[in-house]
Amino acid sequence: MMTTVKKAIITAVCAALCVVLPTAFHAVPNAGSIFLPMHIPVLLAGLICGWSYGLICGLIGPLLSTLFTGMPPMAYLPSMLIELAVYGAATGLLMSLVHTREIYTDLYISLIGGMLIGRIVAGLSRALIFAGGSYSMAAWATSYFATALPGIVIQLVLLPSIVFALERARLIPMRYPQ
Amino acid sequence: MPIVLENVSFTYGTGTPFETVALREIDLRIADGEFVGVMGHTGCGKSTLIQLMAGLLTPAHGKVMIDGADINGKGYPLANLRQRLSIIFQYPECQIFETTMEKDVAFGLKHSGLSAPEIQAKVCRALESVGFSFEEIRSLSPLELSGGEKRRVAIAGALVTEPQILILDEPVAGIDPVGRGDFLKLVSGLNRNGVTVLMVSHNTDVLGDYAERILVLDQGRLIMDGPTRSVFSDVEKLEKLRLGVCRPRKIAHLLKERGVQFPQDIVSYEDLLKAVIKSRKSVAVS
Amino acid sequence: MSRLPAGMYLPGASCLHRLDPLVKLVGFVIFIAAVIVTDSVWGYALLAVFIGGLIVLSGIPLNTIFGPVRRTYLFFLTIFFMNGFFFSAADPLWSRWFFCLSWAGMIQGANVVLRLIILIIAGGILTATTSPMEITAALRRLLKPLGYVGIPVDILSLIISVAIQFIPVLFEEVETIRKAQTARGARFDSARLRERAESMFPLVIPVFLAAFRRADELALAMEARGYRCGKKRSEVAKNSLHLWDIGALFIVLGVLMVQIFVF
Repeated sequence: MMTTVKKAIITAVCAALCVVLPTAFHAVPNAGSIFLPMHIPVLLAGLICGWSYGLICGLIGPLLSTLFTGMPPMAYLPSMLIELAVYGAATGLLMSLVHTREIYTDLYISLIGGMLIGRIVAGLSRALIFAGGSYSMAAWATSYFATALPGIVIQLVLLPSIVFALERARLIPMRYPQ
Repeated sequence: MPIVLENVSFTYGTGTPFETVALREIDLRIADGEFVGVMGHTGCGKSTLIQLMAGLLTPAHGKVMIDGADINGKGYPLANLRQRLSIIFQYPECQIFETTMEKDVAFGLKHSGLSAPEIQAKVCRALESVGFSFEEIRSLSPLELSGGEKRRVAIAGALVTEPQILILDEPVAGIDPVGRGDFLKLVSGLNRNGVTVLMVSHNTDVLGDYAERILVLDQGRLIMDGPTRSVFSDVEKLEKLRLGVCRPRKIAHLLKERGVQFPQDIVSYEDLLKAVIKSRKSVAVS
Repeated sequence: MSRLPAGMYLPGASCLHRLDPLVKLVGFVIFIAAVIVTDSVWGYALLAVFIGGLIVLSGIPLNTIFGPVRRTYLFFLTIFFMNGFFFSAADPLWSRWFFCLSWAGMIQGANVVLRLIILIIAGGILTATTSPMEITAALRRLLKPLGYVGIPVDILSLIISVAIQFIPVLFEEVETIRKAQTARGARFDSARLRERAESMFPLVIPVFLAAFRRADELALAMEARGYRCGKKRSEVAKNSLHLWDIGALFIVLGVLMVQIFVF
């Protein structure tokens, strides 16, 4: 078990990575919307520290990024905050509910579930806030699934690898100790 | 593959209020098979210099030529250079990421176009050169190793391409004395086989023992460049720069200051021992 | 350090710079509400006058203000056309498959784009006149009342301050690892999407390992020194609001009220 202090510090580090990771890909055009580097630390905070920390990371990460780097611009911040907070919270919640005795299965179920819930909530919030109900299904599907597909695939491969590496390096407790 | 720098300058943060010049008008030529030591304080431009040579930074002015070709020229095959030039950064263990030792060391050969058995043979050779038994450890996770072992895996990862130029940035920082000795033996062995070695270090003893030529950088300028013996002969200048000289040289210098007749072309402990034995013999004869 | 993106803060002494950061933050939130409820030409005109006034008061060069808008024009075009073509209207000008171009859709698109541009400019003014430290401090003051309804504000504050400390450190860490892996042959700038995606692994996995190692060290050090969450710590003296701070809040509230009730 991790202490509250450790969970808080890990969440803080993940929030800082929300600022730093996208800058590593800034040279690549459109990397932000294709590879979604800011999603990775938020999902990880949820997976490792639980739903409440995932939620906090999803709120603080993009906020700090806007303050320190200007990306995303203030105007996109509200919908992004909602989206990322839901990702962090939903994956964390699923991770605490799903116990299949096989860490990869748990991770995939939580990640896919979290991503779906996050995208539905983000679509709904965008429809309500920005376009007054006229935001269509097609637009939602293109922006959240078609352009983001490479990012989704990368996250599904990358996140379990990160969790595996952190467990191996004994930086987080084993989920299923042998 | 000689390395030639022509009038190279480099600036960080061009166009921002934080603009700082890291290197000014460097002219330099390093021939094949040399063992060059680089000295200077933090922020003197050492790291910038080696990153320019490795093609990781592009100079603001001037040219970096390796094997006669400008490495920042249009269409220069940088990927090809990465197979022939390896750079080992300070704390290289932080670059380990793969699930097995074999895969992590093989990362540098990913784009080499070699066949799987050829890659395996090279990985095996690299891991054994740093003292691992390939068959025993190939499928272990490198992340579960101790700090010193991780460092060795990372070094194997840099040597796997069998580079002709090896650049080392503070390679012995945070390494235990036994590991340091083994590592330096490995590097000097490679150098004897014709590999050009460029070693950035604060450790003047290591440079005195191994380097045949020393570059001294100060505030972005190359202020001294010559054979180790002649650079270290100017003890006053190096002490004024707060860099100092290697201990054997310092001892010889102190003896001279006390009025003792003692040879001053000493840089390694080997030189010091020989000189001491010789002077004792001459005392015994007289 | 010198390569850390500097953010958008421009030090200055204008009255907007001197305004209480908390007021600016709350004012910005109220302004977002005002922008969202706006949908008439006169409404936009009022917003434009208000924003223009702020720009003049702040003394920020126009280039800084409009730079972000200019750089992302492609994004605005996409938004405009996505709204224009996907809007399901009764009287389309042209339609095929699920594309459907209509006047109503284009007006909708123009509305969304205008709102975004206004918000980007307003956000730009906020971040140009307020340093990140001031904003996060204001945020902590804003969050404080949440403590009374059981939300652990001290943990939130801890996370925010530690995260800010870690940003420059991790920035350096990422640069070092990126260079080390480039030297080993990773292809971060490859033209092929697949190679670029693969190159994320040698960067991102070591970055997380390094970041978590630092987190581990810090957490251990804090626990060793007896830090516990939920413990009361000494309070810094509260700075109270000045008259002009309250006045500024009323002006923004006024804009919102006019948008709701007049237009």
